[in-house]
Amino acid sequence: MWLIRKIHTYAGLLTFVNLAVYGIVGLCALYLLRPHSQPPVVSYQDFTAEPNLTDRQVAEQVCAQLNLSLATPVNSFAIQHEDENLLLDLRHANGRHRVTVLEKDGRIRIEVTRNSIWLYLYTLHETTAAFHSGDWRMQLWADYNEFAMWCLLTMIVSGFAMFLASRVRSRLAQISLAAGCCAFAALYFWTR
Amino acid sequence: MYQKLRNIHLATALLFLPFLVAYAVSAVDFAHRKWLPHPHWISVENLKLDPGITDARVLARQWRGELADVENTPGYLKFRVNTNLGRSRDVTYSIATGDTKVQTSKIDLFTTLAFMHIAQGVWAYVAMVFSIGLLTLGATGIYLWFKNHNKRWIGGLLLLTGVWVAIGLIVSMRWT
Repeated sequence: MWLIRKIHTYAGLLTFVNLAVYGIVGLCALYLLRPHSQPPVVSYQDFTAEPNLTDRQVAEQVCAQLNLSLATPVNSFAIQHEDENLLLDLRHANGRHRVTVLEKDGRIRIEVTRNSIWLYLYTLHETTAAFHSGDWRMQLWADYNEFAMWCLLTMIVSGFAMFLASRVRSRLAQISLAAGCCAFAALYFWTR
Repeated sequence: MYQKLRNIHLATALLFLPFLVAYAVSAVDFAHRKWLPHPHWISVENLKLDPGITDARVLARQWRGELADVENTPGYLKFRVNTNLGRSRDVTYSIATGDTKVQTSKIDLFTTLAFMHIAQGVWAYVAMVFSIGLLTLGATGIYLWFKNHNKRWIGGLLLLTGVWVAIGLIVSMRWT
């Protein structure tokens, strides 16, 4: 039981921020359902696509110029065409960059929509190791968040084991568990 | 104080235990879609309703859920009713005779848990209440660790490492 208690405690301490992020995102659940991104901001920058580059290579060049490593690797669905121009719909944790490559003018049109901090945290909370990012920070976060997810499961199991071992006769614990199970079952049957 | 917070930690954890399990298991399912099976079943039921109803909204009141995909073909009303937790009913109603075919699509446990995780309506409120519980568990857990362990350096090191890495990544990615 000593070891289980240690695992429970240390798993919680090591992933405290991730669990706080889950909590904050859950608290914003209703707010997140509504569209609330800020209006897009449009700007232009000089840009010259080198000859014989593929659309993907141009997209990578644009990402490098705009410092958009969070949007890499560029997904196939992000590469589009509009009025004979290359249109890059680059989505990332901080929002969205719609970049039109105006090759004849030698510049790019950048339409930036920035996510609120809550949407940003929402994206982070759902990013796990299955996600592959071209940005080392996002990849590290994804791996760390995956670890936090498993730590949460470990804490559930170890916490329940500690309850069974030492507090199973507690009336408060029994009432809480029964109330939680009843509430869950009632909600399930009401909404299924 | 210590005993009171210990009881709060225990009671909160047990109160939210089914929700914790649901959210944690569905999180694994979201992260690794191929690990868990996702079968679904379809059952068909034939009903006899009052004939002459031409409004799908009137008919749909018999089933709980969101009315969607209303199709008004000559002599028939077709529509779908989706519940919050992923179950759907495709209804075909004959206006002349009242004969009704209800095709119900049921999903497995893991998919149901995934729907709980992302569902709107009452489950969004559940997520909010659950989140308060999760934050309470975190805050009381930190206090209990701090008060209960004489040798705090290992835990302190883990906490600081976690906070430093996570906050560092969150901040640096937001303001790039």
